[in-house]
Amino acid sequence: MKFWRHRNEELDAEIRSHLDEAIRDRIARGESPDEARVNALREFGNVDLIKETTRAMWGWTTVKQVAQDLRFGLRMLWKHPGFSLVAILTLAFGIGTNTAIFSIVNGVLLRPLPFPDAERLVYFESIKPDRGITDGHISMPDFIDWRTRADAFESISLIFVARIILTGDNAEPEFIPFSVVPLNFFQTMGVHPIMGREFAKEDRAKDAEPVAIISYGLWQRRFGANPNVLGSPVTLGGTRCIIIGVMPAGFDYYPSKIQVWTPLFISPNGRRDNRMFKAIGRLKPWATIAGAQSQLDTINAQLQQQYVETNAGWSVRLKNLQAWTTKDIRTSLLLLLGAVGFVLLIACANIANLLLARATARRKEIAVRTAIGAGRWRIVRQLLTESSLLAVTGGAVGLALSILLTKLLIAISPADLARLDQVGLDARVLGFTVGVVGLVGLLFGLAPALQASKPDLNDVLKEGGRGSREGHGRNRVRAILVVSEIALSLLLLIGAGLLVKSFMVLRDVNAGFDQHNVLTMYIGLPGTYKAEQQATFFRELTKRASALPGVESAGAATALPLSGVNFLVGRSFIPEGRPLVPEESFQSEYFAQAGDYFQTMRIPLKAGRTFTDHDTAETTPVVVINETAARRAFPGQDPIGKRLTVWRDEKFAREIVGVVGDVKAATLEEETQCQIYVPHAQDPGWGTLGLAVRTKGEPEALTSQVRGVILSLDKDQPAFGIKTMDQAFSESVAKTRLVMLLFGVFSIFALLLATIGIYGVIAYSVAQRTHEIGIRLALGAQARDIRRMILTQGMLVTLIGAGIGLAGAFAATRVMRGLLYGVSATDPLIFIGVSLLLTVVALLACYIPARRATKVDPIIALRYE
Amino acid sequence: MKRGYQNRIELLQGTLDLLILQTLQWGPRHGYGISQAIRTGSGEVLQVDTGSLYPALHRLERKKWIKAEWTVSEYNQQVKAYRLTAAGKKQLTAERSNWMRLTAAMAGILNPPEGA
Repeated sequence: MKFWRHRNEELDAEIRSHLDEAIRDRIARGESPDEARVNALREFGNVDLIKETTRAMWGWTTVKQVAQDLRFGLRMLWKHPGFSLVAILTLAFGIGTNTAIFSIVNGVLLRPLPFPDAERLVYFESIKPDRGITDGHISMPDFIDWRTRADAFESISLIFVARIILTGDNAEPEFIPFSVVPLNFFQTMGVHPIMGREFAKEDRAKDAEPVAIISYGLWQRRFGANPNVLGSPVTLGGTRCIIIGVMPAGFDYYPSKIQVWTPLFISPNGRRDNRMFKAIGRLKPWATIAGAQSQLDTINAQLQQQYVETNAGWSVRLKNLQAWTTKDIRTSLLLLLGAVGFVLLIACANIANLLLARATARRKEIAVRTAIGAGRWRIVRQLLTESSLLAVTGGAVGLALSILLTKLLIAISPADLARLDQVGLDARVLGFTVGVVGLVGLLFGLAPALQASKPDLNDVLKEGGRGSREGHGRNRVRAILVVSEIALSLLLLIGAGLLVKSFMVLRDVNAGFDQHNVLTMYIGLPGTYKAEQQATFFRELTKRASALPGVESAGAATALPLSGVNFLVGRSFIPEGRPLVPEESFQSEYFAQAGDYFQTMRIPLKAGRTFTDHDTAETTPVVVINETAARRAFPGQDPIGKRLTVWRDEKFAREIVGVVGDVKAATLEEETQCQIYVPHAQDPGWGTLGLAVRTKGEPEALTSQVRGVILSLDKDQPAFGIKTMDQAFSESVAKTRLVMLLFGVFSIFALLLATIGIYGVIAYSVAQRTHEIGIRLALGAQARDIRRMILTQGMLVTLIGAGIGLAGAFAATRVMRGLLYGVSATDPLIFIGVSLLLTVVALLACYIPARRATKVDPIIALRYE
Repeated sequence: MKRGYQNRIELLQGTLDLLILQTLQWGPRHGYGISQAIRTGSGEVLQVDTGSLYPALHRLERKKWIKAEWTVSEYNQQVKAYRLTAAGKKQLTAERSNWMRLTAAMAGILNPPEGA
């Protein structure tokens, strides 16, 4: 800075000496001293401007001017705290929500999976389109064919996923997700144990001890991070295994918090219709998904012909593993990102409008600066600096806000959303925020700056700053801004309306059972139980549970409603006496149930009877079907007494004893399927059942008593997934509700901003037209006419905006189709209703300035000028 | 207004630089002196605009073609005098020959040979 002052002083001295000499010369030529001074100065020109242009040659001016602009900008913001606060808060909200949603998008969708070269990992979706299977299972022989014949893969690994009971010496029994994987699994994923070894061929030997690898989480939690854990025993489903390895942290989330891995040995002797595995492959570096897909298609086409019985219609669709992991949430997240983007745009339009209004108020200041020599670019830069200051301050506050918002979002998100643990602030999120800040600074700063920088000097300076004839151009810009605000917010409101309606349809959907006052939990018996023992266990369990005080009834089933798991069995039953025709075979959801299941769930009995204690392994095999099955299999007939052959028991047929109501088994959204129920006593092979207990009071209060009943039957038997049916119900709509809520909040904010926007524009125009309105009133116009004039102006803007918004919504809401349930993406009711709502709100916003216009006193209005 | 100045600077830039360098060939001079020298040297035809002169001087100084030092004028006043540097001399030679070529070319076009 010292150097700086020095150069400035030098320049001053240089110019002073120039002038002195010029004056001296003029005096020498005979001019009077005064004359000489005036003439020399005139000859010299604008001293300050010349200094400025000269300084520009030093190369330092830009920095200097920016500093000057910044200082001035800060002063301007400080001098108008109301304006600054509104603008900064609006921006902070806009930028904060954008950053928050983006950091979730970044963590969930963009950040690569924590595996080396994760983009080469692909997931095998086993599909059979004619049966509607979109992500089914895979058989071992099919897998062997792929592995040996498709050369696009470095390796392919099968995975079997289930839950298993883990018991230990003193600790509580646990029911944990575990996975059976082949030797190459860890190789395929590219992740290796941090301690110990992977599975080896020797583990297969007949006399070899069973082995297991545990997750980092399990090691920390259950083994206290004991460094000597290798070689310790762990009992899995009754089998004692030796721990041979510990996986690194963060590896456990695929597919769902796997905590233990045991070895799977590939054998070519499996059956092709025994589909029980999932598969993940690693592509060779040169291979593409499309290339690998076409190899698999060729192989599968051959398998379909060669093994018609088992493989007809089955094929595989390869998915990038990351895309597959996040498929459920992708659309919602991108939609929300779009929504907050729109809100930010609307916020920018509002601030641009504020700045335009303020630029008008500052026309005189700007004109003066121009008159004393500020160039146009200099003025634009000054105004842009001010808007950037707003943007940067808003961005900083927004960034802080986004950290809170992100935490909040994660806290209210359903826990099973994929990869939420990956969400956090990183360079990409910061880069995004900086980019957004820069963009909005330009976006709302440029138009006002360009407009303000070309004032008609004479006009402005002459008329004393009160613009009675402001350019039409500027008003047009303001109108266009408001039109786009209205269009954008209508688009968002329609989207929100569709989501709300969809949620309400979903919430009111008849799930087919009564979810209140039901406590549920799952019990998975270990492999040491024989089938008959399982039947006894669940019969006793339901009997004892229903005898508890405060309990009305208890029942159990292989899957409870809204479990999220679709237990859909193809070709699951054939009405007796009909030939097996593939097209006619019925797919259905299959349940084995114990105790008073229907009564406990209050699934209504429509005809016949439900099961009793007398339906045992020794008595007539019976089955209960739902109404859909009755309608499809026996149209126009009474199904009671008819017989079905069920997939589990090929040899004999079951007699239909009852028809019950349809139940939403997996999710509320699912289409109602055929459902068939058999007594667990007659199909006791199922070791994992969900227990449902109907209580008289609060269901949670009975948790420990019910667990006590389980432990009284088997002291090593854990229960898992303990929740009330009400909880299951709200969990099953949690994601839909969250997206709806967020979208709703954003769109209401958009509406608010747009309302403020239109109010601002109309109010401003009324203020501008005070003079004109005064004349009209003086000439005899009625208040009513004035009001109509102003409202018409507002309505015009609103209707144009709404028209554009409606057209946009027609085109855009189709991307939401996957998120809507029971509502068309162009639902006319929502489209019309929301447009009306917006119009009414906009009218109200215009009404206030319109009323003010009628209060104009003609005398004052006319005298003012 | 500023725009006007800039336009003229751009128009005159090469020429003004050449004039300044040429003027300084005969020894150090300060800004006023240079403008006077150009004026009288051109028979009052070329009037150097101060709004162009000082930016040009400071630009040439930054390019190290001229060097400024404070001296005392004949009227016993502190003045900033500019002096041609070695690089400036080289530049002057180059620009002069450029100028000659340009004027010759211009003359060729403006006075076609058949008319001569």
